[in-house]
This record gives sequence, structure tokens and C-alpha cells, in this order.
Amino acid sequence: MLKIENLTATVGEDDETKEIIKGLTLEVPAGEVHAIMGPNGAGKSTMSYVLTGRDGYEVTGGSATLNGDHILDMEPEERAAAGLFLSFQYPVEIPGVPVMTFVRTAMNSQRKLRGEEEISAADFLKKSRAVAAKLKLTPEMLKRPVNVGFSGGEKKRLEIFQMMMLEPGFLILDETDSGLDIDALRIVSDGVNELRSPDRGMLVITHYQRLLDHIQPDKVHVLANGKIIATGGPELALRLEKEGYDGVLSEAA
Amino acid sequence: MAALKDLFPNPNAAELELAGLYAGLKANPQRERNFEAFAQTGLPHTRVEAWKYSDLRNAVQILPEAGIEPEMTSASAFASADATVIEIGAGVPKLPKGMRVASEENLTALGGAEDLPVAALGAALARAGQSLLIEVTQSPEKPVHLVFDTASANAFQRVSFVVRKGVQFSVLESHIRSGGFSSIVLEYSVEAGASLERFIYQKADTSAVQVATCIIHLADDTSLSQAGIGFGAKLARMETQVYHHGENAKASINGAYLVGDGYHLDQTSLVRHAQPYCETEQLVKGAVMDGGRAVFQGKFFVAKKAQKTAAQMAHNALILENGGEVNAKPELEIYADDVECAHGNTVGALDETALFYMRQRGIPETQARALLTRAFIGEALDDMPEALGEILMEEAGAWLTERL
Repeated sequence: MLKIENLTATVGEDDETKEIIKGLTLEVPAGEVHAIMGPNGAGKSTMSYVLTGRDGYEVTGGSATLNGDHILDMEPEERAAAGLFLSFQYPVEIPGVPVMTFVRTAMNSQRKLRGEEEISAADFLKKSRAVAAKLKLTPEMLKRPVNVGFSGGEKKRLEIFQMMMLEPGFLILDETDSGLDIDALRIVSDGVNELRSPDRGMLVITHYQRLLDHIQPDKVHVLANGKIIATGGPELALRLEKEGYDGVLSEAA
Repeated sequence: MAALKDLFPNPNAAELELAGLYAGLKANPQRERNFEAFAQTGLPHTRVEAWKYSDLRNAVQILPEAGIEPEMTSASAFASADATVIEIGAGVPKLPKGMRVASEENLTALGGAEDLPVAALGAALARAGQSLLIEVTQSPEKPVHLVFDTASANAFQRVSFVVRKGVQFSVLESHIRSGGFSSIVLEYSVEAGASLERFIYQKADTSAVQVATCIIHLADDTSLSQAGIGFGAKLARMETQVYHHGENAKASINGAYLVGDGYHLDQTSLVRHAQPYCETEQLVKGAVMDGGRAVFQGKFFVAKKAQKTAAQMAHNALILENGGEVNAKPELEIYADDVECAHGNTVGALDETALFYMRQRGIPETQARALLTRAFIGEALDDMPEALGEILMEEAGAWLTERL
């Protein structure tokens, strides 16, 4: 499904250019959930931005494919239409654009890019009501501008709402647990778990074991200094929680 | 006439032609007073403080000949609104119930004419039937849609409304020009307890030079709600002056603009608080493209007597492309000591983070930019009646989609 090979990438321009991703190799097959853990500054968020095509990040080597398609040559919206979805660590406010307008525009844009028919207003409404109910989002919230005035937990629930509406083929969850209390964490993880399916892959980026209690990964990777230095099963996350990153880091060195 | 010509320090060809037009009209003292007020300044240029960003003299070197494009003349977005159309300049208009023409040749001298030279010119050159005094004695059933002369090469028109006590008056104004030079003067005298809604649509081509000046007098317990959208012209200046003459009057004067390559739009306003307990809110939001220039000049003047004035001014502009230009001059001049007045001004670019977020969700970049810009300027139209606001927002959306 998602295959990253020997990826290198820099951030910044001219004299400020800094290599953050330094030969990253990773494969997430369809149907699996992989976790990426790592210390601050390891390149976790950078990796998610490089994969989704944010400006300011330059790929200097290696490749990334989603279902065999080279995504690094695509525009961000084309990557989205190809099925890549990034749940932002800090979801962005879009003043003046109501949630429903935003999600419907996104859905129809993706469909158009894929050469599919637009969703009818009635079908969209029906689907959004069902998804909102699951996530305990009120109709009033869906009329408000995207993320404007939302609490941290509401913003994350809105990310899950978008995921469940857009049904992307591959999800990257960037620190989805940050800023969540226990109840919100449960709602968010239930949403993510509901999206697990044999034809969908997920990459869960997190600092803490806590999220992985709710979203059980098939594999855990440790990202440090721009590359994967260790890979294991869920027990690796438990070990990191107990020993910290130092043990794994020193073994790798 | 020679004496008047001498008033121009260095007349350009256009000013001489304007003096010629004046000489051809029936003389009377008020018309003379208006023309003299114009002649003191002539066509204003950048060394005239109030026109420092809009060089009218340079834009009108000779009186242009209009090249009328038929599609321009019927292009008002308000054409689809449920309103009674009144064409100004097509003879004495038929008016709906509650309104009557009090005079077909309103020749009063314009108040403060020396400070409004181009409006004074418009008032001086407006002929009979082009200069109307209209009394509004009952609230009309529907909004009135004013359509100004689009067919003449050069248009000078003046419409003065007296909105009688307690009347609710809602006006849509379509300022549409294709080529030519125009000065339109509007006056609204809003009597005690009456209310005025004024919604404006301005669109022209890059050969038109267009000035519209509106002077609004507010008595006790009145309200003014103004909003609209402008797209500019070779040079367009939409000027509004609001006078709080009474107590407890509320004015909101909002506006949105979108200025493309080759266009210039100047939105200038002056609000004078002469009496206590009045409120003014102003929100102007717009966006410019490469080669476009937007001017915002806003001034609140609060007299010593005007205690408890609450007045807020905000202008926020987006520069959508390198090369777009925005000149902003917000001013407060306050002589009262117990007031709440503030102004804010920002000029910036679209939020790159928001753009990326939208693109990550599958919205192509141009569409994302259009959506963000539309939402940004739309805030200035939020207080409009929904149906009218939507008409303008759709127009803005189409404009953005076409250009981004």
C-alpha cells in the first residue's frame, strides 16, 4: 500500500536548508496499522508533511508510492484524491467557511479529480448526519466555520469526521492524541478503529503509548534522526514507555 | 465664463471641456456656486490630500468618449433582486407608492462643496431630469433599485432623497459604467426615527472613470445600514459621508472589494459625530490582484459635544498576488473625552497553512484560494439581508474563480 524507500528531504531555503529526513524506509501494507514513535525533532511531523506535499519541504532523494503510484510528484490535492489523508496535529482554522461547505467541497473536488460523479446534496446530508451522530458532533457545530472557536477535542473530532466522510485509502494521524482528555480520546479512537479495514492502511504518529492502548498497531517503528532505527510489534511501544527512547537509541547506535 | 476659466490654475483639456459644458447650461446662482466650488480645486490630483492615492486629473486628461458595451449596461448583479427599478436620467421616473418627485431640477448648492470638488462638479453639471429631489413619505413595499446613466459618454447626475420621519427606506444602487467620465451625487436626509438601508454594486471597465459621492444626514434615533461590493474601474471612487446630527443614531458602513489587473478602486469615507450617543461601525474588506490598486481612506471625526460616541473602524485587505497594491489611511479625530473609538487596519496575504489544509483535503489550490478570499471579504456583507448578500457573494465567487 504505502511504500517509502530511502527518502531524504530538507526543510528551509538557501543557507537555512536543513536535512530532516535522512534515508527513511518504511512499508505499510493494506489492512495494517503502523505506529511511528520517536523523540522530539526526530522528523515525525516532517515526514507527514513531505508525504502530503506541503510547501517548504524538498524531497532530495528516494521515493514514496501509494498503491504503486509515485505520490511525491503530485500536487497535494492530487495526493488527497489518490487516497492520502493527514489528520493534523494542529487542525487549521478556516474563517468564514462552514464545515459542511468545506467537507462537501473537498469530497466533490476529490471525486472530480478521480473522474467520479459529485455526491447529491441529499446523500451528503444523510451521510454527514450519520457520521456526526457517531462522533457526538451537533448540527450547530457543522454550520460553524471550520475549527474556528472549536476546543482542542472538538478539532480532533472534526478531523475524524472528515476522515469518515471522505473515506480515504490511507490515513496518517499526526499526534492525534495531543490535547485530548480521556473521553475525547475514546471517541476519536473509536472513530479511527471503525475505519480499519482490509483495504485501508494507517500510520499513527505518536509520542505516547496511551493512544496505542486504544488503537492497537500491527507494527511499531522508532523514528530517530530522520530514519527508522527499530521496528517491532506492539511490545516495542511498551518497552519505549518503560525505558524511554535512550535504550533503543543506544542499541541502534 | 472667462472669469471662471481663470479659476483653474493650469486647466487641462478636460477641465476646459467641463467649463464649456457648464457654460452651455442655464445659469443660476446655485449651479454657479457648485461649479465655482469645483473650479477652486479643478480635477483633483495627488497633491490634494483627500485624493493623494487617486489621481483623477491624470485619469481624465480629456473628456473620454464612452464605448458602450451592451453587456456592461445590464450587468448589475442586483438585476435579479426583488426591487423596483428606477432609472435615473431616463426622464422623470415613475415612482412606487410612498415616493414622489419633489423637484426635477434640484439646484440647491451642495453642502461642504469645497471639500468635495468632484461631487460639486456633478451637482453643477446635472441637468433638469438628471437632478432629482425625491421625497419618501411612506416605507415602499420593496427596495428601490437605482440604476444610473450608463449610456452617455459623460454622466453628471444628482439624486437627493428626503426620508421622512419613521419611514424605512431600502435602496440598491447599481453604479455601472463602460468608458466615459461620471460624477454621481447622492444625498439622503434621514429624518428622526427613519431608517436607511443602502446596498451598492459598482462595476466598470478599465476605460471608465467613475466618481460617486454619497452624503447622508442622520437625525435623532435613525439607523443607517450600508454595504456593498466594488470592482473598480480605470479609476473609481466611491465616497460616503455620514453626518450624525441627532442623538442615538446608529450607522454601519461596510463594504467589500475585489480589484483586478488594470483596475483602481478608492473607497473613501468620512463620518462626523456632531451629537452625543451615536454609534458607527465600519468594516471594509477586500482583495487585490497583480496590477490592481485599492484605496481605503476612512475618517471618524468626533466633535467635543459628541460624548458617549462609540465608533469602530476596520479595514482588512488581502494581496492575492505580488504587484497588487493597497493604500490605507484610517484616521480618528476626536475632541470629546468620553468616547469609545478605535480603528484597525491590516494588509496581508492568504494564510498558507489554511491553503495547505484545504489542499490536503482535496480542494485544488485555485479553488481553495477563491474559497478563502470569498469568505474573507464576505464578512463585510454579513449584515445584509441574506438574499441580497448571496447575490453579491455569488458574483464575488465567480469573479475569483475566473481570475485565480
